[in-house]
Amino acid sequence: MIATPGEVALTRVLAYLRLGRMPITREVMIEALALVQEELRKEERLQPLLQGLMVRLQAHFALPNPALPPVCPPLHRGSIQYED
Amino acid sequence: MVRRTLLTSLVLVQTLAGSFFLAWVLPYHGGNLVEKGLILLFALLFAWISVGFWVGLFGFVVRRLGGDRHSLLHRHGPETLARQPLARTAVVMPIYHEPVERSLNGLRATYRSLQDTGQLEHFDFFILSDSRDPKVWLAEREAWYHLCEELGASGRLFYRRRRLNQHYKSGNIADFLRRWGRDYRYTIVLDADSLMAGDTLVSMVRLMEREPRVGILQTSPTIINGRTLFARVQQFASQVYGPIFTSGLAALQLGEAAYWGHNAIIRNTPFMHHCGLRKLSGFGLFSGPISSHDFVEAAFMGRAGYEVWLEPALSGSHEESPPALMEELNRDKRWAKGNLQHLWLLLFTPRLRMAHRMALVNGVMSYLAAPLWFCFLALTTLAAARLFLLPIEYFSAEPSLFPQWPKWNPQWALGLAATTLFLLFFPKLVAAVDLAFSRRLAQHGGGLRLTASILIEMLASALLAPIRMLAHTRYVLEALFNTTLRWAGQNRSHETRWRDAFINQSPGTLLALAWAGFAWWMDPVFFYWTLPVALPLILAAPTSVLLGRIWLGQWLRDRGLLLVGQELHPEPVLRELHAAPDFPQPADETTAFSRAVIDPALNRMHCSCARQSHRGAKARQVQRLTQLCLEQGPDSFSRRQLSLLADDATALHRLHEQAWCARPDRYWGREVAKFQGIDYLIEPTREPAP
Repeated sequence: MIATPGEVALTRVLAYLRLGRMPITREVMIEALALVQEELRKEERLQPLLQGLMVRLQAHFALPNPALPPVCPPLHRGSIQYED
Repeated sequence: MVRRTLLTSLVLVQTLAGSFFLAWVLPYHGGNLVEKGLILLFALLFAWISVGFWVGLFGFVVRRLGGDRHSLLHRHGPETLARQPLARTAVVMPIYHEPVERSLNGLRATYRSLQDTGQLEHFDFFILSDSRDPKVWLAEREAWYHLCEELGASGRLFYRRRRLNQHYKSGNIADFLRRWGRDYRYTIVLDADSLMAGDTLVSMVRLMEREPRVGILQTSPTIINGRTLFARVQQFASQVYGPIFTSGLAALQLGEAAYWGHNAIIRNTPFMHHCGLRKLSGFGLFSGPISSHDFVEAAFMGRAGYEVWLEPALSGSHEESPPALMEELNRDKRWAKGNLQHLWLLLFTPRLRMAHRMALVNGVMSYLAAPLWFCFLALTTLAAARLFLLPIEYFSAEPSLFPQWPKWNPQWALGLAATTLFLLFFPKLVAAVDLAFSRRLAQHGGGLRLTASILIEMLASALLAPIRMLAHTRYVLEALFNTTLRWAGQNRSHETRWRDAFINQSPGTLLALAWAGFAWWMDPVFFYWTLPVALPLILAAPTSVLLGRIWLGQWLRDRGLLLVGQELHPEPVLRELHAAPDFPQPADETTAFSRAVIDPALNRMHCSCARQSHRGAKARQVQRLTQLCLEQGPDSFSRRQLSLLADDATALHRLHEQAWCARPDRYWGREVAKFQGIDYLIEPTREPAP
């Protein structure tokens, strides 16, 4: 499809939120639209528009931030011994 | 001691009788150098197959007597074991460029099965990766993350990747033990294709707790999940013949068994104190790290005064077979080298127990038997050529008043060949009888189908034996001369392709054609003698392809052939494996690297696992690579360059932020679009092309 910067920006924002495990509710969609609207007022060119959006996106929405599983337990060093 | 003396006596007597018989069969009765060589090679090979024969029969007797009274499970009844408290145990799965889903599906089923026992709190799980390719290890880490989320296993399931993977798998285990070995009394070692029932893991720990002198306890894994005909043949053999052979082996080895490197439990403290593997200090093959570590570790454990047990009665231990002949031979190539290295240890390692030395000899012979058989065939041809093409030697080198009349006894030769076949195939029939006594015929489709399946398995074995012999001969020569004779195409597809099979097998086929042709030209009777070996080699390519076909395996399964009990009545851990949901499917055509960059949750996870930042020249290199990656994408990057980026948290974070700001017509914009499932163009009137 041929897309306007506004369409690209809105789908990008929603995709980011969805991949960030945020449920896309009606309120979230309205906020996303408002954010894109605000940024579009400032900038119509796509690249700066996306940059501005991504900066504001993370501050505006509280993405779920679950605790990450520890990749390894704390070290408790021992040694391997060699006979002979 | 009595058992081993009996086995040794039986093998020696049988070998002597066979060798004398061969001497009578030969025209000069061992009177020249060629025939002496033939008798010597025959004796070695005949002894080798005699051991297998008697081990099988021992196992049959032991099983019919209700099991070995000395075995660990016989010493401790189920009630005693159930009362035994558990100790902290790590379950480790070393992986190296394995198919991620297959390995972690097995680990997931094992974890869930353990959870069902209610004893999960005593165990921690570790995925120990040695993978070098960032696309692979990023995918592994991603799968680990999803698995932690799915199982609620945060803090119980860990992922460790060595950045420097020295000393192969044994180095990987040693690295784990150095870091966390002191936190656990035991470590259960799995393979990438292992599957173990929770009850089995618990029983292993309890047995170790009851038997403090046991350093290693090995289970006898059965092969499961065979789909190709090749894998199904291996699976059938493992489940039908396996029990009598492993029971026999366990009864003969007792506390001096071997360790097979996986599906086993080790006692950490003595393992760390006594089983460190030094690099070999010899020349060529006998220098550098030991690549087959397990037999050596068992021998070192034995030397330190600990026992090593094989316990075939511990069920719920499984592994998978290579799907096709070529995959098996690729694996054998590594194993051949590893086992031949043990010759050095046999000669120069002091104080090893005799049983463990014999286990090392057994490993060496597993591969050395192939060139010995090859030499035997070559000498047989030479002896026949001398008889048919050269003048008869009436007088040998030793002084004699009377001429020596060569006398060829083909009917005796037939008798000897029949004896050899009996030694090879009779234990298989005994295993079938054992099945009947155990009332397990129905698991294999009933008596008639079992008989047909055994015949199919025997045919496959007969076709495969000469192909394996030739391949192993090549591997042994390569290992001994520390070189690689390349002629093989590499099969990367799941099923064997005709082209790869022909390229792989053509040298053997040509050799067999030349050999059989020469035999025909020399004497048609000798030609018929060459056929059992020559014909499978001539047919090696189609054999390899057909055995590697899934539809053929499935076709036989649908007709109730090569069936195993696990297919009709799978145990809970297998049902768990088959019912397990797929891992979250990544967006189409995305790589693990793209996902690490784009997916916010995965990026956060990978950033937390990566180095926080590099310094100095490396930091500048990472910055340059990050910029290049943002402009052009990572496709032109080498594995090392990609690793540098994927292992740097700052780079990953920057890539993530910038990728989401990329225009849809740039590399990262297109990658983001794949995640969105959108393929769009920018409205041309508004945006000039970049």
